[in-house]
Amino acid sequence: MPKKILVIDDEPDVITFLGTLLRKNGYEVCEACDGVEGIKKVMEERPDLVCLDLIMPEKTGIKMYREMRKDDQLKNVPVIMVTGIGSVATEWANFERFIQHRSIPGPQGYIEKPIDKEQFLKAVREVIGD
Amino acid sequence: MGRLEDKWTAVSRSLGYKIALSVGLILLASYSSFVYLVIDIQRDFFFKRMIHEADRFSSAVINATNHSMLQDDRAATRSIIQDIGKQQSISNIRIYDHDGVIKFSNQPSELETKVDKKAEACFACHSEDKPFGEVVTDKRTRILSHEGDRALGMITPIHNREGCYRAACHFHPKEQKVLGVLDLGMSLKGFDSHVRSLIFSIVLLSAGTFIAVLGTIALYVTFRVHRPVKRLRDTAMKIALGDFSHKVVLDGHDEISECGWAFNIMRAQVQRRTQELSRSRENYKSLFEQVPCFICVINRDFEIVRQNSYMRNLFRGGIGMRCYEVFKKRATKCEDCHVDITFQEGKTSGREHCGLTVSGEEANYVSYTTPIVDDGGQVLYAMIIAVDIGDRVRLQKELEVSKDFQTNLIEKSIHGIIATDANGHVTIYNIAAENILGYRPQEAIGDGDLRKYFPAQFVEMILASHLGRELPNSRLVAQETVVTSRDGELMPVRFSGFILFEKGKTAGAVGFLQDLRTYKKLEREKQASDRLAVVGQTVAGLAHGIKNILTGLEGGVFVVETALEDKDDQLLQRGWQMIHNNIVRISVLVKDLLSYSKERTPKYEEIDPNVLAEEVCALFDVKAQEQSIIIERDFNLKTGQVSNIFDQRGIHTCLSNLVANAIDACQSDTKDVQHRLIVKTGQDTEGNLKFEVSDNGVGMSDETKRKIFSSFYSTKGNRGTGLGLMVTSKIIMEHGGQISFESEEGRGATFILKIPPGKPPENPDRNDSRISGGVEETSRETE
Repeated sequence: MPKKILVIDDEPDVITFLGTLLRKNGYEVCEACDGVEGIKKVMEERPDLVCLDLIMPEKTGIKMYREMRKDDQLKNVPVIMVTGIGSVATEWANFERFIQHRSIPGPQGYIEKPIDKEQFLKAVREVIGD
Repeated sequence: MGRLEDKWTAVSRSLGYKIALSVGLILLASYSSFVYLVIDIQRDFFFKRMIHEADRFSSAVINATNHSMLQDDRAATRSIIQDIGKQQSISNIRIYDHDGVIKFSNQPSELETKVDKKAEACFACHSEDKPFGEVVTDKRTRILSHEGDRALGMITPIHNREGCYRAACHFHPKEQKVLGVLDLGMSLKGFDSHVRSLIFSIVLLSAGTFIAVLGTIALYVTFRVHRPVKRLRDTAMKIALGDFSHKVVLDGHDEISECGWAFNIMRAQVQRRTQELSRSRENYKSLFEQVPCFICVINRDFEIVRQNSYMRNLFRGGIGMRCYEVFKKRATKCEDCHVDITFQEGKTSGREHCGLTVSGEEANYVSYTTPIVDDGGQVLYAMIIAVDIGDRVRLQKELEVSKDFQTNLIEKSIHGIIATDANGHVTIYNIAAENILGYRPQEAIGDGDLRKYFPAQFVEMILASHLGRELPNSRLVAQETVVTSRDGELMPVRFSGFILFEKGKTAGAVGFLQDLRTYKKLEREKQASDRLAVVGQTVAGLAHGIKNILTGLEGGVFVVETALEDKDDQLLQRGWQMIHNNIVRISVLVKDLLSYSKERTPKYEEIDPNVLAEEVCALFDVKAQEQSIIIERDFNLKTGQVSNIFDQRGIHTCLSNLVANAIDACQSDTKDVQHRLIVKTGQDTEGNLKFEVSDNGVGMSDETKRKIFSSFYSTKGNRGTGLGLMVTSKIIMEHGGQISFESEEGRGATFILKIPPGKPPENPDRNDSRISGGVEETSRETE
């Protein structure tokens, strides 16, 4: 059974890119365009890994991550945060302070845009294997 | 008995009784004298008549016996004498001869007896042994006692008449004048009885008239004197006892009635005076007790003889205690005792004191002592009237503290404070003012050249106020200006100044100078910092956008490569679309960046807003039709209605952004409705030109509403740059206008642009333009 990965990003191009890359490397991919749909898909699809964009309209990746970590069923689902950190340094710093303060485990990986394919695949493999 | 005695005492003391008694005694004396005289006269009268009758009777007897004598008929004479002697009224009758021998008598036993010539009856004529000649009648009478009654004895001489000494029988010589005497005794029984009866009648009559007169007088005195006087006295006694309810009621028009009338007037006056006195006394007592100061009277031994309640409550002193014990709680007289001055010099004196109340607290008061003197001018007492000035002293202390505080406040204030008096001279000049202006306090205080200390505008206000001119405004508030320091340096300050008035007249002015040197320096630093921050944020946002585009481009290239490898045409088309989209994004991003960052000078020209709006609508008609969206025009602005001078290109960009956003909002909405957007032109109530773009698309969430004017915020993913509304806002601000929006999530949004009439200021302050949107509105998509 191929591992299932949920890609959540507000930019369809990113979803298409990551979806194509992951499928080509043998993973099953499902997609969501924002945090609201992302939560719904996580509950429905029970993916092995979530690739989560940090900044999205409506529900951001940070909010969605908090909800996942509060939910007993979802708190152990691995997450790789995908973001252009340079533009959201403040939000990112707040996010790190938040997880430290609440003793919430951090995401299993960080990938910065523009996405390097090899680095991304390596991060995915480190979390869930081939 | 006691009551009778009291009554008798009262009666005996009454004026009526005394008048009646006096009148009665006088009357009694008068009556007694009168009765005595009357009786005496009557008795004398009747007695004289008796003597006269006895004399006549004796003469008659002598005459009756004369014949028998001459005849020497002794028997006849004897018979006559005895017959006469038998009469009831005759007690005795006898005839003596010359030698005093009784020759004839109605008492035979007496015959031939001889009487002593010196006997009582004889003595009148035979005194000194001389025979009597003519003896007065009175001396020939005597009162005899006869059988228990009185009798009148009368000796009548028998003279030797011619017939006698010529008679033959006789031997009497002619020289013998008196031959003998007839001794007649006439009973006075009847006389006495008559006199007694007369006396009784007179006394009875006198007593009757006396009683009648006395009674009349007594009644008159009782009714006309005693009773009115008693009423006067009773009323006077009641008045004396304080009962003014009774009037003296007197009839008549005599002096007592007039006295009663006068008494009633006096009673009314006394009553009124007494009431006034009583009221005055009550008022005095009330005043004494309740006057809001303490009053006491001190005797020469400094003992309190009287005090009011205020003092009693404050010091708890008692009558008899010494003033210094009460006021100062000390055992000896005060060294600066001003009561002593009053006693010694008889003068009023006053002084401030600090005493101790019963609770041990300080009691500050001002006391005045006034001498109370007797008729001889000797000071008997001193009255102390003291006013509690505790509040005043407390307020004075508070005032001093407050003044110190205010002085400190003024001196320690970080802002310069300069105040002038009513003459326009500087009276307050604090350290901060010195720091700003450089003038020393000794130079500034009293200086009248206010231009050195205040901005020119405020100096003109002060001068106008002193000249009595009407001021449109008596204050300047927080005006940023510059003042020239002593060294000629222009000092940036924020100045607030107020003209001070007192009772409508200018009392001075006060100015507050906030030193803005540090603030200006910080402001400059902050502006530089802000610019750096904006640059940093913009670069960061730009980097984010570029990274996304790069990701999209790299992803597109990867998808194309994968499609070529897999010979997947659909995937190839998708990859190519990704590359195309991201190239377009780069183009739009660059364009928006240029619009936002370029300091473009707006080109103001006269344009019809309706024409401009129509151009924009026409530009988007095709795109809207592809999305089945209707663009409605609602141009309410009449040509020439408002000033229509604005930057045509800038406003066209704004309207295009808003219409594009509205189309995107409708496109993103999944509701099964006919989507439409309405473009309106018009004029608001303030005369501003108004453009309005409404849609019935997805609307905005609260979070979106908070962020829509932030740079690089977009709800449209790779279709937007996040700069559209920022560009729109910037252009409207350049026009001095206002952009606002209303939105409800799921129901659409309305964006309103307002541009003021006329040409906008050449350097509009970005802070003056406004962006508003209610938090109750909900959703709006933005570019």
